[in-house]
Amino acid sequence: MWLTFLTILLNIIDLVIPLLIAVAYFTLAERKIMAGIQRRKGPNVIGYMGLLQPLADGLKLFVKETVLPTNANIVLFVLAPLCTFILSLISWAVIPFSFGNVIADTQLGGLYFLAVSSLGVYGVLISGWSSNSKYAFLGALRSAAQMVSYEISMGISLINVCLCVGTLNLTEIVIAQLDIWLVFPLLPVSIMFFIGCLAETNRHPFDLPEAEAELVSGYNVEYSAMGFALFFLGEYANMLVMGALTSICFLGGWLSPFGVGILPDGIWFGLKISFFVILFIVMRAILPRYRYDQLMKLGWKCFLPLALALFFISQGILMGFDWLPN
Amino acid sequence: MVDPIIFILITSLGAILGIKVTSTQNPVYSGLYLVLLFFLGSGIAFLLGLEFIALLFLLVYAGAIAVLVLFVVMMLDVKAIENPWSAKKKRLLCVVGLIFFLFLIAVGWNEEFQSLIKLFATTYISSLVLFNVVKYEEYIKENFQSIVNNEIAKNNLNKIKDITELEASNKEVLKTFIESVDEKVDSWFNLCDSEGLTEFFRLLFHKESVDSSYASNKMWFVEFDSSCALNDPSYLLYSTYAILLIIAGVILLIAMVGAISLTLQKNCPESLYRQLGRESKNAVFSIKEKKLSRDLREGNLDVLS
Repeated sequence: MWLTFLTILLNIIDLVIPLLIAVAYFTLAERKIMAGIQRRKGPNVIGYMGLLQPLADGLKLFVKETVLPTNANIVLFVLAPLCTFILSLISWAVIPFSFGNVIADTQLGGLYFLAVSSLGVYGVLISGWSSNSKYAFLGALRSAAQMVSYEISMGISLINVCLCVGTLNLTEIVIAQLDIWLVFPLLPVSIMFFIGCLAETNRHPFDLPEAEAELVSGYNVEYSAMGFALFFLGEYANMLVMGALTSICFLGGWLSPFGVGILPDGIWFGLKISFFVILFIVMRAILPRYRYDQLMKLGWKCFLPLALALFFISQGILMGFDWLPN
Repeated sequence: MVDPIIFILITSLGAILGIKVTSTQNPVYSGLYLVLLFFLGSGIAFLLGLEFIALLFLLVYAGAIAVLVLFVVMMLDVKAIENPWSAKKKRLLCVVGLIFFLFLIAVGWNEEFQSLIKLFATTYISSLVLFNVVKYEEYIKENFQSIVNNEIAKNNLNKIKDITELEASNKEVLKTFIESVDEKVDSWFNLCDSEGLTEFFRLLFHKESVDSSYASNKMWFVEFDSSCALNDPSYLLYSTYAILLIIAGVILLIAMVGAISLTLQKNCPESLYRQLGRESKNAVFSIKEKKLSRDLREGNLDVLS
């Protein structure tokens, strides 16, 4: 009994701590790559070439004073960053890093992932409402509307993948791609899924809640110190997990390209996640921001019908040629 | 099956949350309590082993519907809502709660009360069975009709009356009463253990059709095998319960049409087609500046800028 608990606990810690370190270096990578694109140097003072910068940032946020606004709703105000952070961590439970290297290998992994990511709206919504500030509230409303509307097309894309593979278990989705990665037969779906990920994590070019010129910083304006840090960690962990899901669904997870297999499985998976991370950062550096009505129009009038149409097309092809799995 | 204590805890928690949803003054709070209630619902489904339905519940209700509700509530800015629970009602609630609590304690201490409750439960369930529209198997009817219009029970009641008229000692009355109740309750009580309940529910949901299409001897939610969690529910849904699925679809369609027709009120300011056909292309256009007197022109410019 105790041993099982201890094993599970160690498993989780083994996942969470490298994840937090990865998030820290994600921020450093973001700053460095953006600096490279904009022909600057980026952080280069602390440590060798600025490699210790994220740790210094973390320390700075940790020792700052936590400010609680007097008019805020304290309970919800404190609860919101926790909600975001925990939800961003628990979705990692179903992500397989290599064969069998996963905390919970459930049959409905994809559905679990969707459910948890749909709950992520609450952190944003609660924080925006409870901080009793107009900027935060408007940011939260924008962000929640955006997340809800893009989640639908993302879900339909995931159903498309699940239709081709015949299961929602993420491990089996990866194994089904031994012959060919799904990005080739389902190229438009994968592109749409990635764009949905961008919108779901409130990243550029869809970072409306963080529109600095209009809303200072969106739903987390009133947060300082560790509250802000938790939001930050949650957002970036969400980005990483979205990259992981996209690489599992479309780039064959831990499988090496063409069965080369020089490196261990986990490293291939990490490389694929890093590819998506770099894509996220490059998007942020090179693309202008969407206007809000354009964003909504894109979500409801383009992505949703397109995702449905692609779903029906692939279903029709699978039915017509009798290629349906099992 | 899960420990009944956990179920009881969850259901009582659900009841508390339900009261909280209606009794809190702040609508946002009540929305959040509603979200917690949805979580609890999916928790119950998880405990029953219905992972698929639990996750769908989480995804649809907590992830979409409750978000929309919260969204609207926050946008509307209804801060000063009246206390829905006046002092009188609160006092009433307290009294009822106290009585219920005392009753529970009494039940815990007293075996007579327990058998009384069993009797109530039996009659309730059997009346449900009798008056239900759905056609049941003869088996159930046999089991329960004997309980509901049991002549022995009437006889016993008459006996009790007789005895009371004879002013016999209270203890004897209770004894005969308890014995008669115990006999009747026994058959139902056997159903109450998990296997009997399973059998009961299986019979409730069309025994023959289930048996012919899906040969298993369990409740419908036991039939869901989580190892092939996607295939089973869909198979059941499209074969055994196809008619129910179609009915649900029709109800949804009616609801959708109703929602649309509610929004299309008759005092619509503009023609509907004109409104829908409006685009930025044909809505935004430049007009020729009319030649007006100077100050009017300036005024126009002010408005434009």
